[in-house]
Amino acid sequence: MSTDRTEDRIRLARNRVAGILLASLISYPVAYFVMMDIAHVPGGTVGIQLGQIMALACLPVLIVLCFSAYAGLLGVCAAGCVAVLAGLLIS
Amino acid sequence: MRETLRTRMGWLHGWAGFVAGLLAVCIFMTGSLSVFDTEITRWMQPENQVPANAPLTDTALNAASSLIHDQQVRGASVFLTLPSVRSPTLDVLHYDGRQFVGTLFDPRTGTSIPARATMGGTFFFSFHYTLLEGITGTRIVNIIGVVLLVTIISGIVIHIRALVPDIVRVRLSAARLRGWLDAHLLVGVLVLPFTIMIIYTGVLVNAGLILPATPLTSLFTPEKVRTPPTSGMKAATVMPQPLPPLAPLLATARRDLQGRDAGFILFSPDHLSIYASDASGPFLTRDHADFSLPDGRLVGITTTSGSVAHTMQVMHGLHYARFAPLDLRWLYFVSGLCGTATIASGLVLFLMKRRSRSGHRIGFRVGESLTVSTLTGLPISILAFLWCNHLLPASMAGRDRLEIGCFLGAWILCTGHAGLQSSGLRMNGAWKTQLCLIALLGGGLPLLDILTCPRAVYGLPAIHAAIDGIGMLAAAVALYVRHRLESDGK
Repeated sequence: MSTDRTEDRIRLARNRVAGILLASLISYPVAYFVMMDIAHVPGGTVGIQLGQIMALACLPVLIVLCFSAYAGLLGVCAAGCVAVLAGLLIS
Repeated sequence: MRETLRTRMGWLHGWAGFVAGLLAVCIFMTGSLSVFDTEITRWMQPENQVPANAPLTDTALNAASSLIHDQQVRGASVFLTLPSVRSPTLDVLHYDGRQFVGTLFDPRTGTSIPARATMGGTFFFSFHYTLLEGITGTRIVNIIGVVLLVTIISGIVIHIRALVPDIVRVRLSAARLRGWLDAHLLVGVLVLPFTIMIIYTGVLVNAGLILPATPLTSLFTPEKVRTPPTSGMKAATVMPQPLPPLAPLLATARRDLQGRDAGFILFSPDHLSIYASDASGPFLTRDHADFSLPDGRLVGITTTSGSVAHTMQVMHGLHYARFAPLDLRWLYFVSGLCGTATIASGLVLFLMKRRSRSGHRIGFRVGESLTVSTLTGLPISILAFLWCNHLLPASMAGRDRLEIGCFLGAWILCTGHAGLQSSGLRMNGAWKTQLCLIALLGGGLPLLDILTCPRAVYGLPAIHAAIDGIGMLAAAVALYVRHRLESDGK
């Protein structure tokens, strides 16, 4: 019984570590693409600064959202796809 | 085991908070001290007894000008910091690769002040954002900032449901775990807006290091070694022009920079630039007026406009707090200490929750010894740094390097002591000894100050009383925690 519980706990910990790594790996590029999309707004460094202000505010929220549940992960992935597509359209 | 959003967020809050918290305590503690960096520098240079609001005379400006011209002829790149309420001296400074050093002038008479060489309060400032590791350190600090924001968001998710009842029924004297948790919640919630603001603006200050506006692949390519441009070498050989009287230029710059006071002046061989003071408002700008040399003719005014640029300037201004008057700076300091206390109590809680199940494991013991060396070792090394400043002879060569050596040496010794105690499962012993040392060094700080620099204490009583008082406060807190540890052990 206790062995089962220990195995359960180890599996859970492993899942969570993988989850946070995945959340970071997905959220960072999404925040980056959001910043680059905003940076493409005409105005030189102004766009970059605005992009950084918004992307850095989003990044921690995206990580938590991505880690919280499967639906969150899908939502962040979808947001990333939209950001990439928007970037392609702008450029 | 059933996985819910709350348990998942609890795991994230605990582990992210613990891993980032060990460094975050150092960043927050030194950041809080940096609020008073200029005042700490004045405490560490007791020879400088110029009172605040001392009038700036033409004699002093001329003395500084002639020194600047001499140093420019020798090829040094110097700048002039003008007197302010916090730092009333006229400073001719240059960067020596580690810090800004130079000559301090009395703004009333123009005589140079033979102040001792010291790292001063700027040491805490540079430790706060670089961890003494340059760009790599700044990058680490930025990542820690983002992880802290993740920790805060997950903390809000797990505590939001019972937040109000937990705060209303503060049970500090209940069971140890409950007491620590309530203290963590109470202090954390009290300064939550400040903590979020200071972390977010701090990450934004060096946003380019974490979110560069270049292709992502550039993050993984090694940085190219910069070769000095040939034009720069040419510029170094250009004979610098003599400087015109600075007082009229300052008056012109003040008029053209919308009445803002001048903060510092940068000198080039053929022109000089007068920058608006950081203390002139919450917008931290680099607006400046350029004058040609040697005639002192106004060449141009550089100001930033636009709402986004102003937003960024406010973010920087809020983080640096250079515009803040004394009372607001105290509020920053106290809020910073509360933020430190929140992270510190979180670290202790993390260990307490796992002690019964994992206390025998080597990983736990390493974690606990690192926590001891952070929570008590860092204050000890800060106090050792201050003691070292007052005990080393004022005219000793390389005393600023020795101050850093003392700071790092004390910290390494504390870490070693905590590690040794944890290997013998005597962690209470490590806490108690190091808390005693804080009490001794902090409590002895006023005595040391009065014995070694009585004239400075008499001349600038407010600065000395405040810094000695902070030492006493650290001693009182250490003694109280030690007392609680002893009473819990009985």
